[in-house]
Amino acid sequence: MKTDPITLELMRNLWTGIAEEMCAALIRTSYSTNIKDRRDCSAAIVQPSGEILAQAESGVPLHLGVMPGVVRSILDVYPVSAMKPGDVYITNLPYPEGPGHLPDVSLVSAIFHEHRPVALAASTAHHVDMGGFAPGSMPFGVTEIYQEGLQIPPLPIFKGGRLDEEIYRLINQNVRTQYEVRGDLMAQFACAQIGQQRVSDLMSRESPDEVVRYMDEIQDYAERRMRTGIRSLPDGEYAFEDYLDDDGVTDEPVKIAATLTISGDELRADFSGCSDQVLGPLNARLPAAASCISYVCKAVIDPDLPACAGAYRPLDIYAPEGSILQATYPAAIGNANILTDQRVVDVLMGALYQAAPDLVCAACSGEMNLVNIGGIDPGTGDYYNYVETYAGGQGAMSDLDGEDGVHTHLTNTRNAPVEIMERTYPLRVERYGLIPDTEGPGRQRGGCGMMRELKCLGERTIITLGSDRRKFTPWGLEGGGNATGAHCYVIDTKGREREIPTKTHTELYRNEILRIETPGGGGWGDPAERDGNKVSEDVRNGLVSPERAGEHYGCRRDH
Amino acid sequence: MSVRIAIDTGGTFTDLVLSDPDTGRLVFHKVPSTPSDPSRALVEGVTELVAQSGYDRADIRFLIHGTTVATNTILQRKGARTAFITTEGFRDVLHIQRQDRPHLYNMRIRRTPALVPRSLRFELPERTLYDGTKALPVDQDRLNELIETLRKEGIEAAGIGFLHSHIDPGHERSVGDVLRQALPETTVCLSSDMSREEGEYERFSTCAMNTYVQPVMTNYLNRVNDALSDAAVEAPLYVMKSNGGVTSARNAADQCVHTILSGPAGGVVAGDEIGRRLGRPNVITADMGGTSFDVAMIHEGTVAFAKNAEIDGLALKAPMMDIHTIGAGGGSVAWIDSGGALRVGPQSAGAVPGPACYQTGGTEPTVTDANLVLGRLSTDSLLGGAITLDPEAARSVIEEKIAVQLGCAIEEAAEGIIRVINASMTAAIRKLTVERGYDPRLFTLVPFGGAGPLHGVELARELGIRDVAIPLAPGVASAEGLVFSNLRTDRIQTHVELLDRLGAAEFEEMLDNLTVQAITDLATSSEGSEPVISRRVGLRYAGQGYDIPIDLPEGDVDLALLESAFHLEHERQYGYARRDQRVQLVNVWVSAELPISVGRRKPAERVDSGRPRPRSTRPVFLSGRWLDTAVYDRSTLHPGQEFDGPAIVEQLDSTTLIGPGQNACVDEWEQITITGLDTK
Repeated sequence: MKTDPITLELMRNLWTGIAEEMCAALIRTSYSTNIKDRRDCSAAIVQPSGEILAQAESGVPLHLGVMPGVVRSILDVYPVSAMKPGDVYITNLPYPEGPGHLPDVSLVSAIFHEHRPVALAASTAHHVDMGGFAPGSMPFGVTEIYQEGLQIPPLPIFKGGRLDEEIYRLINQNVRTQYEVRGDLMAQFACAQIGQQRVSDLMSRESPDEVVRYMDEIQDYAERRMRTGIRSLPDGEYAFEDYLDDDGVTDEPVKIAATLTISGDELRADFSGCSDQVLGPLNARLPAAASCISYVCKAVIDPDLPACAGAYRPLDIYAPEGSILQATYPAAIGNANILTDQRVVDVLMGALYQAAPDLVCAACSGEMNLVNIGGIDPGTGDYYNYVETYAGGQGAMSDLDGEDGVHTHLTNTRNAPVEIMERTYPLRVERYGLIPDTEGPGRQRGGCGMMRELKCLGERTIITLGSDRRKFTPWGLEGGGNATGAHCYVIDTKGREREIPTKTHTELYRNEILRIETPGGGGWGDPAERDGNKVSEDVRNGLVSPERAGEHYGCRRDH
Repeated sequence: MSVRIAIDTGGTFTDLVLSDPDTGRLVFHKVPSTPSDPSRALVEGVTELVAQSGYDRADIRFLIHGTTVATNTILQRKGARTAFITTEGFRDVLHIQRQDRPHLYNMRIRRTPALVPRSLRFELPERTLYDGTKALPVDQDRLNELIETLRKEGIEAAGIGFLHSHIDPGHERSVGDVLRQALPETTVCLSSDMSREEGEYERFSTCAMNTYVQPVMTNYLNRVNDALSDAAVEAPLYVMKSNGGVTSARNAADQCVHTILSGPAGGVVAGDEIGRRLGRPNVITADMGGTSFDVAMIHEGTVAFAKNAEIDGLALKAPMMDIHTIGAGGGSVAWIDSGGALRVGPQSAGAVPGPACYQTGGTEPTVTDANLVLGRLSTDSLLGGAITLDPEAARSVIEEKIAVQLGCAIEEAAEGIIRVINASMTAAIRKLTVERGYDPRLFTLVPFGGAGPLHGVELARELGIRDVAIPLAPGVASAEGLVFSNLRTDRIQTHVELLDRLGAAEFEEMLDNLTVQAITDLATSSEGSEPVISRRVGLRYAGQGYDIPIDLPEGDVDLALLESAFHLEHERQYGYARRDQRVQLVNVWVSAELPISVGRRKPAERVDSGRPRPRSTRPVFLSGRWLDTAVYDRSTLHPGQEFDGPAIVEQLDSTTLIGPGQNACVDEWEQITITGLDTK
């Protein structure tokens, strides 16, 4: 049968609309800050074969490559043919493939039309806590996934539309923030319900046979677009590498290396040059690398590329078993999302710079600056947990400055407003703003990093920090300079300041202040060539000091 | 005799409507806009309209104005030299915004820079905590130094935004008083006067925006008033706000961010009025013009309001109708993407270079070209034939850029363009309704704007809507809505508290305070009648981030009843309720409305039951084939007349399509209601 390009476009929009609506319901009914404010979640419509048909990503592209693995791991145990209306399956297990770390909980259920499963509804949401060593379940100081938190293998969690209270009791016992976790799980259930409802509506409006037939057409269409995009890049082999400072356990730098091979309309990403898996929780499984490459292809080739399986058929990804991107069970994995994966993207950008310099940016902050604070709220006596990732500087492009204090690449979550933080947690925000002179100098400068000072008001406050780029700072391109890296400090009640590691698990006493500084973004081109008016404007705005303007941009001191 | 005149300033034309409540008469008028000084077109239009319609200037009781001055000042960055003063340590809140970026994948799309540059954002040591405690007093020495700096910098307007001022505005007020005294020429604006809602970025952004625009708006409205006086029009001037109500010119200047939707709000009010006349409390308004498509929802007679609004990428907290805009209009460009699918928009040919058929340099196929090829538009349908459309230009561009690639006939390609753009518009309507748990099938669609009535019945069919109502003058519906609007103010206060911890007395007191404030707002522009008060609260399960609005009935508040209403609504929208969980109050909302309508428009008394006579017939391509279609001239249609589709109704600024098997009826308010839609 002939494919009608008009029907194709209509069908594609209908499916995207359904996925977006599912995701909207999840966000609007959720409880944890991670989902409701930071939108660290996604929802997808999946073909019964396991191929993602449409995915809504609200805050983070990280779920893009992970969802297929999630669905496969559930279908391996519970085939679609065994699913019944109202049954919903859960997993948070990253091994052998699944969500990126334990706090990401995925739900999958079948969508029925006239008693026949026609699609699957899937969602992944970053829950506030999944138990384990530290609040937030992304601890440092651990070396095994057992320590990180509760591992939930594929299980039916809702049966006939009702939460299975027996299984749930086990989960409930293991998480610190029981109220929120249950609420967020219900929000994911609402997401699945909306998926079923909307697909039923769709099937009653359109011809069901045509709807089903066009699922495959949509995949082929996305594949064509991806192939066209890859073909526009010059053939060749492009390699790049960078290092994470350390794994949080030893002081050894961790190598991230990629070789991209573009040949016609296919792209192969080979991560053989990466370090072996490490002791600290920076390990990942291959679906995470798939997310990175999917993201980079969209950002560089076609930002509106549909988020469906077909688009990724022309990609081939390889990392050897036992390496940091394909770690062996039970390696700790919790912080790969926020550190390793973000660096993989920087490295892929660096490789593609050689193929298409005008389409990429210099290194961004290269990590997500995770701040996780928990303890007993002295006001209520309840356990609280605050999680946020802090923005940094964006890398410059050949014709654009990088943005200051903005989330880049794999994360795009919103900040927690100071007024809400202070009302909700025993924390006081002392300062929050940009740090001058942290930009990577260049003809186009990188963005400035950001800082926040938090005074801890509880008796004992447990802090988990996950950041990087203290030693290996964000690099520039085409002669642009490096940006300033990340730093973390504790200021005690006498005003004495001490620097602490950027990957750490520590405790603060009442009225001590935690100061987080995030990296800037790398510059592009020779800073001496920067437009003098732009340098003056940065000096006037206090983002570049007169001294630095003289030193890096060759400007006289009278600016 | 006393008449009211509405003036809606648009980019190209300024639309005017005169309403005479005694006779029910409406007179429409259009003059070219004067963007460099919109007051010129306004005054010219008013004097012309009064003269043409046989009234005297002294007959004008009042004027209602829909203005784009606030919006354009922001979009064009033409505001005052503005400073922003904030709590020490937080100067970059306006810069960082919410730390996210506007597009997840497109690295070239940047955040909108703050209206106030970093060099003019100043910090003062002071601190209020979340419970209103003053942890640090305002540093008076630093304040005095700051005054000198502001003077030296030649600041015209200063905004003040301190943390937690929505709980206790004391520090903002004291600094504001000092500044007003020291710098009497400088406009001073407090974030706590703009919004009493939690979230510093949104409140500061609103304050900065208002500060930036206020001097421009004040000048503009003064100019309008002077020009009206010079023209011997002494009637008071009201300005339409984004909440669908009007306010005095003075208030509009002080709270200019409330007029961001001043223009489009009129259209929604018109839709609401049409719904009332027809006895249909559920209405979706769809305004389709050359470049954009605006939709809004009225449910049970209440217009849906937006939770988080923004303009040009900057956050704005002001009571605003939820008008959802997408880039879809007559000028939307059709193209084939790299995967071979037919796409339409978001690029638009706009008015310049315009659709290919305008012959003004446009070389891309647009929705208007497709409508012309399909016979839905006639060659002289634009402004009564002032511009002649060229069907051959439309055919050849669609053939060359679309039909050849798709391997189909030109008509098929043109129909495809219409189907794809219609799908974008129905998706926008679904977002507004279905995503919030409303079933669009229970609504009446009111399409207007130049292109709305041409697409209305097809949108309705896609959505399963059974009734479509077309206003008398769809091209000036926004102006028509202005004449039916009332004085209205909204007071919103954040108050986060568990319902079971909330004392009934405390709650009543908060409601009373807000009610008094709202009535006071209206009193400054009093018309003597009693305001209508409505009250609403935002509730959520403790821990959730989004609240659901629940209306409060009149009289004493029953908290238990309120709670169960919330459970029901949550279940309706999301499929589940957590009845064992605690419910939290998030905000309280009091609206006061003072009717200034001297009476609603009266229905026509003379009803003509015959069938109207078409002006002509022409072939129109509908659902895959050419059908002979009757073409009616709108000015010859009278109340009571009925006719069947397929039919086309043409008038000065709009064309209406009625599909095969559908029935159109001109009702006693001269609206065309279309029924018999065979919904899909």
